Amino acid sequence: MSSSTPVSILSRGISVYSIPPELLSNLTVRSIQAQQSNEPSDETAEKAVVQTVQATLPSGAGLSCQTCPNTNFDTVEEQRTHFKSDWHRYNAKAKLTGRTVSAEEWDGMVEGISSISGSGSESSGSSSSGSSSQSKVARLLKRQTIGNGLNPEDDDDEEALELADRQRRAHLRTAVIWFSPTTSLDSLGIPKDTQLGVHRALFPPFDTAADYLTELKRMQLTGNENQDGERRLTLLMVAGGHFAGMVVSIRPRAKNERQEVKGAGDIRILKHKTFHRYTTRKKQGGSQALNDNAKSKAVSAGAMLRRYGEQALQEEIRALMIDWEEDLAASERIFIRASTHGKKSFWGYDGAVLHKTDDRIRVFPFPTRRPTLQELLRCWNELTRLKVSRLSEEALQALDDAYIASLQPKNKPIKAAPVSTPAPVVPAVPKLSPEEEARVDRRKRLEEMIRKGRLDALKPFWTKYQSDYQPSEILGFVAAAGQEDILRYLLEEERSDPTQPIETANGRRAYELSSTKIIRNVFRRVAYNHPDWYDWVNQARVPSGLSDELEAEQNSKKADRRKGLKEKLKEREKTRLAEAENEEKAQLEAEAQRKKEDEMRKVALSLNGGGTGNTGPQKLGGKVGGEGLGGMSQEMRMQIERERRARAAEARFGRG
Amino acid sequence: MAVRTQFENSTDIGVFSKLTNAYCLTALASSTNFYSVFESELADVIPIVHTTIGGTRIVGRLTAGNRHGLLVPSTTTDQELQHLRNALPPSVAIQRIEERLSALGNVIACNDYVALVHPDIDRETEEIIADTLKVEVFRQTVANNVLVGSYCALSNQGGLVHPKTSRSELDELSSLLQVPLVAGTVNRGSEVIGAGLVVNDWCAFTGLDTTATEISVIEATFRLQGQTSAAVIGEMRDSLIDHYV
Amino acid sequence: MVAMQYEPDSAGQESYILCADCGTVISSANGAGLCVGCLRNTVDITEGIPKEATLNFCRGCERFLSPPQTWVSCQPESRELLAICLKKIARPLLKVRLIDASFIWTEPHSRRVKVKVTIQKEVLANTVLQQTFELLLVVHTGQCPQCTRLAAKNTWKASVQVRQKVTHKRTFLWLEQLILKHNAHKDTINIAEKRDGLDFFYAERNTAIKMVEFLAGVVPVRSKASEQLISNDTHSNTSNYKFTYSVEIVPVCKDDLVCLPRNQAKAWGNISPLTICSRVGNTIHLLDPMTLQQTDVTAPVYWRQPFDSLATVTDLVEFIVLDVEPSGPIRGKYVLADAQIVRSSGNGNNNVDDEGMGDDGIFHTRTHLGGILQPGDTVLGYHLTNANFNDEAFESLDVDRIPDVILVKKTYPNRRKKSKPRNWKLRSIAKEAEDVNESEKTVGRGALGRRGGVDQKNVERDYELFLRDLEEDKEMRAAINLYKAQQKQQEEEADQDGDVGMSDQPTTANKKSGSGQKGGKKRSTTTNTGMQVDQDMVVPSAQGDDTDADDEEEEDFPEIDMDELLEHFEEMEMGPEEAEQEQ
Repeated sequence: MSSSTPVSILSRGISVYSIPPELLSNLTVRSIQAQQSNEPSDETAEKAVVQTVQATLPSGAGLSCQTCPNTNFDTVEEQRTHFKSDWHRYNAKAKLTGRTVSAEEWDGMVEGISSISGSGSESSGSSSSGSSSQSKVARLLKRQTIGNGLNPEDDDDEEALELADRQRRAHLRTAVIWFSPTTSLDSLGIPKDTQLGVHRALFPPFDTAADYLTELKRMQLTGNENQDGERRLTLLMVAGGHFAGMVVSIRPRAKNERQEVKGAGDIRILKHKTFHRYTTRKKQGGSQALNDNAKSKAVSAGAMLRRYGEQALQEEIRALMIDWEEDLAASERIFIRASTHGKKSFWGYDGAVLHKTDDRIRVFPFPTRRPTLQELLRCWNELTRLKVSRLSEEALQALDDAYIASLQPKNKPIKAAPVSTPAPVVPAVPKLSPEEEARVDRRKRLEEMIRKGRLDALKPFWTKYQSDYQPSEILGFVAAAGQEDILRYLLEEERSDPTQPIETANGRRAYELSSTKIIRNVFRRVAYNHPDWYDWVNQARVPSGLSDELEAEQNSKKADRRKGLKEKLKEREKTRLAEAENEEKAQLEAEAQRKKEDEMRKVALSLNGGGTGNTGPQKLGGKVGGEGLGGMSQEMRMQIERERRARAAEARFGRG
Repeated sequence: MAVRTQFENSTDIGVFSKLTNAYCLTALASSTNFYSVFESELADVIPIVHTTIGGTRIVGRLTAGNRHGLLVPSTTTDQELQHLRNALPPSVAIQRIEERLSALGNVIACNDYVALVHPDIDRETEEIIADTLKVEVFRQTVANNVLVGSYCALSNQGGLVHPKTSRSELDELSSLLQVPLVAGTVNRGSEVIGAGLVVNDWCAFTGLDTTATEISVIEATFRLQGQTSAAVIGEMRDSLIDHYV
Repeated sequence: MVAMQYEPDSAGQESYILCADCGTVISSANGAGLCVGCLRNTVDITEGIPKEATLNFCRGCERFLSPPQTWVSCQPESRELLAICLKKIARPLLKVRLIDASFIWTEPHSRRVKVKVTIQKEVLANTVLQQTFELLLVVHTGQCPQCTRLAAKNTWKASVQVRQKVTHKRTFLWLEQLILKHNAHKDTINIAEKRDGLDFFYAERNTAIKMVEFLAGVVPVRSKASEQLISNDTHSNTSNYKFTYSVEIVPVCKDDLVCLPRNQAKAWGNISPLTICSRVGNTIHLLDPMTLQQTDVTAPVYWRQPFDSLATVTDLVEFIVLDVEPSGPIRGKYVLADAQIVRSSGNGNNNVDDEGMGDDGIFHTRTHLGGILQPGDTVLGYHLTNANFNDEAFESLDVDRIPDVILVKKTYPNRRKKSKPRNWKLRSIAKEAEDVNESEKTVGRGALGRRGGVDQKNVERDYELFLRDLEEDKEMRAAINLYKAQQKQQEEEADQDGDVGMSDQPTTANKKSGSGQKGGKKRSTTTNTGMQVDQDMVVPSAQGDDTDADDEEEEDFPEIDMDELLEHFEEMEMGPEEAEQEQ
């Protein structure tokens, strides 16, 4: 859908700190609390499709990736970036085992955090593998259904109280604060049902939703360098002997400034440092210190090395902290990823630069990978880019309900304001809401109907759900499936637009996807009948119209040709038949001859003991006069045979 | 020029040698025949280094490199490393890599700008490859084979890949590598391109079994016809100078 | 979001390379990097497979040698022959995959067999090449070992001559069944009937010895071995012999009357010298019917001092029991009883006994058959009163102590008269050796009596008696295999025989069978051919049950339980070819 609107600014990815003022002024916080009062639910049919930010734009370039499904790139650069993306990397491996994941699946798998509900935050440190995420999805789905069952819409007071409480907690817990524009901003290419998400971790802890909006507005860069000063964030990660840290300026890099970090784009990195020490045993994992504490101190050479590595790493980090003291002091937020043990490197020692209770300190509200500079950049982007999702009110409502239902009932004490843990662990909300599932289901049904050519079933379906689909895409599918009736219906009665390029087919037009000539003729005939509907030649890429006369002419030509051909064929067939007959006759004769021979041979053989096997007593003699039997008649042979048998019998009996 | 040769009766010369625009490694053989072939083509242009890697002769499969650098596996001994350091031009960076997939030649295919690597390679290794060889690194497969180094041979002019690489995959890879690619065979139908062929920008060596057809494909692909070392080196130097000015 | 799958054009998925040899564009799918033509030029997958071989063919029996040493007779272009042909190249074929093989037609007299063989083999990597080649087999004629031996008139190496010097064949009939039951004839190459016995021929000496041992196990015999030197190689000091084993069976048969020499009778438990032979296993069981005393005579003991039987079953006469009264002692199935009997034969009915033993012709005797005899029963016995024996031992007996009659066994003439078809059959070693011309008419009992004429009649009679013995003796039955007769045949017979206007033939047969001794097996030779089919084991019924309902019949007629019978007679029957081989 987005492809039909003018290029959206959302496709570029907006920094949280530089939201266009016209958008900013229109934003409202979409918190669960706020939701209660605000239920305008207008269009029901409008079910937005979740789109990734990097929605592909139509182009004829045909750059794609063989590994990842449904990929299309405008430029080689885009393609190359794609090849470096984690999604592609994952698929490159997954391809070998035969199953690749689509972009959406991938998002669901790895960026559990950026799932559309924005509330999921599995605290697992590593990216999930395909199978485990699969089961996770299943688990989540299950949980969702149970949750729904447990959440009856009762008016009971207690229940209401409980619900309110849950909502409050839910509000406090979501990792992402969602904003939505009040009206659609056509100038920016933002349709109405769009939600923009900002990580809660970027905000100070607030209790009411409105505060977030004011804070967000306050956070914006003025664009004036002097006024802003050098606002910065610090990201620090330590894990498995790896350390990565950087101090980033919130202000993006100007064009003329030098970029020293590869792949950083327009991020202005003030300082960065990574180092690695050998602290963790490969495969086994776990730091040496932990191991030493758990068991007795290991004395292997490796253990020594690791202990030394840990010590050195800690010292290096501490030294670096002192080095960066100024920047740390000036940072608005400090994001730290470290284990309990690893945190000792940052605070809790004499002369520590940071303090544990510093309210700027945050943990990364999403899983992170091995601490590298690239990972830091990714996290930066993740943190400071607006998340975009497009869901209708209903879908959101449903998601919220499901989420609230999934929360624990209130029997544990609610935590105090989450200072040190701005994004506490909350159960992730399932990705596929019932609506979405229904949508997916419908899509499947539609494809099925088209494939099987069920026009009658399609008609009511199409009138009902037409708006869900991009007409050109469906047209393309119909053309590819070769269903002329449906195509004619769509083109003439529904007036589906064949001029739109189809994204999933490299921006080709529906006509170009036609599987047979008949289909192409349907296009051409419609083009002939209604030349004024669309720009057939240029936009829909239908070369020329096809009138009845034209077709008739063509057909007659073809028929003529065929007739000539048929006659020739007939003639050839005739001669062939005659030949075959002769041949058959000859063959029959030969067969008869052979049969006779066979029979004779058989008789001769049976006379001479055709038995097989060597276990039983065997007939030995007999073949004395056998050689001469060949030329005799059947009767004579029989007679001779009889005589021979009689002799044999006599010999056998001897005298009794 | 594509030259046919063999290493002690084996036609898999890519196993026993490594050729780049800046240097050539050959295995220590019992006779110098193999070495002599390289010498006659490359002498006075680039250094040809006799070496072993980790005591083995399969230098071509264990190492990966281009004009910017050379990657050797962790099995490489210090002496070998020292020897290489002494023998290679100073502009070539040598890096020893701790990597589970230690046959670097099999898991890395590179020219001077781009490298294709095995999808399972370590992230650190990937970074080292990018830094040492000064290349863009892509995790890729070639015709569903993860051993990209074994199944393709790349130069800055072109590339020969596994014969079963489909056309669309060829397109994809060549847009990635920015060089024309051709699916083909060496050593009379062998699909292990990396083992049968070593190539740089002006000459190629192939196994003795390679047929005339294959030679012609190779020469066309890598634009070896009428290519002289002087021209290439000159061009390279120009670009180098360009680059650094 | 559901992905809409547009099939990518197939061209994009294909990959093309140049053939390494000839440079033509080929799809790389074949994996060898070569076009099919070049691939064929380079590799010959038939390499190492011989294209020519020889077939050994025996002219005598028209069989082919199936390596290593079996000779199989097979039709030209048959599967068996193809198997033999392919066996010639079996070893090299292991390395390739055999796809197809078929004969190419050649003239039989060309002595060449051509086989078209299609094979597949993986060449290079992942490339399977299929190739067809011709295998030419030259037929070498020769003789198989059997034919060689036949040609040298040297068919057997060992023979077993089994003899019993008695007038009837019942022992051999019994023996035949035992042999069948134990499959002892397995290695026999020929069986020949000789006077007083049979000759078994064997290709190997040890199989002959086995047969001798088998015989010694089932009947009391003595055997003698002899050998004949056929050839002798002085250089290797090896000799070639023919071995002959002569086996003589004790001439005393079941139900024979035996008169032991006095001293011998004393030695064997002081038994009364006048005994009847109650059973012959591998020993002879003698029974004194007056006292129920029994003794066993083993073969060695017998042959130390042989004795002959005084009277045999042919001398039995029929009596009717008037009264029977058990007198006490019981031994096993024998119950001692006093019986009053009278001759049942027509002439004995009103004649006065010569010895004045009463005008009524009633005899009083003591019998061991008290358990089964009832007044009115018919019983067989030796009528000693008017018998003449030329026997030393008998003469030495005290005349007063000799009973008038010794009853031997009960008989069932009424039941026999009806001659219901037996519901069981026996197998025989060889099928009847019928003459082709009159195969319908000939009769023969297994290995015995196939010569027709008088002898045939005797054989028929013996066979019937043997069958009756089987019916009446459970122990005997237990030792051999009985088979179910085909029900259909029986019904057929019942239909045909149930009519009132019966032909005279069965009636005459009835008379004969009524006597129990002279009545040979009734054989309807003329009535109709429908009955002829394989009736050899079945006594045709003379009358249906209903036409004869008033006739009393023996209630205790020993019916053979259907459970005792074995199924599948037909399956076990040897086919004609098999029978031929047994000659």
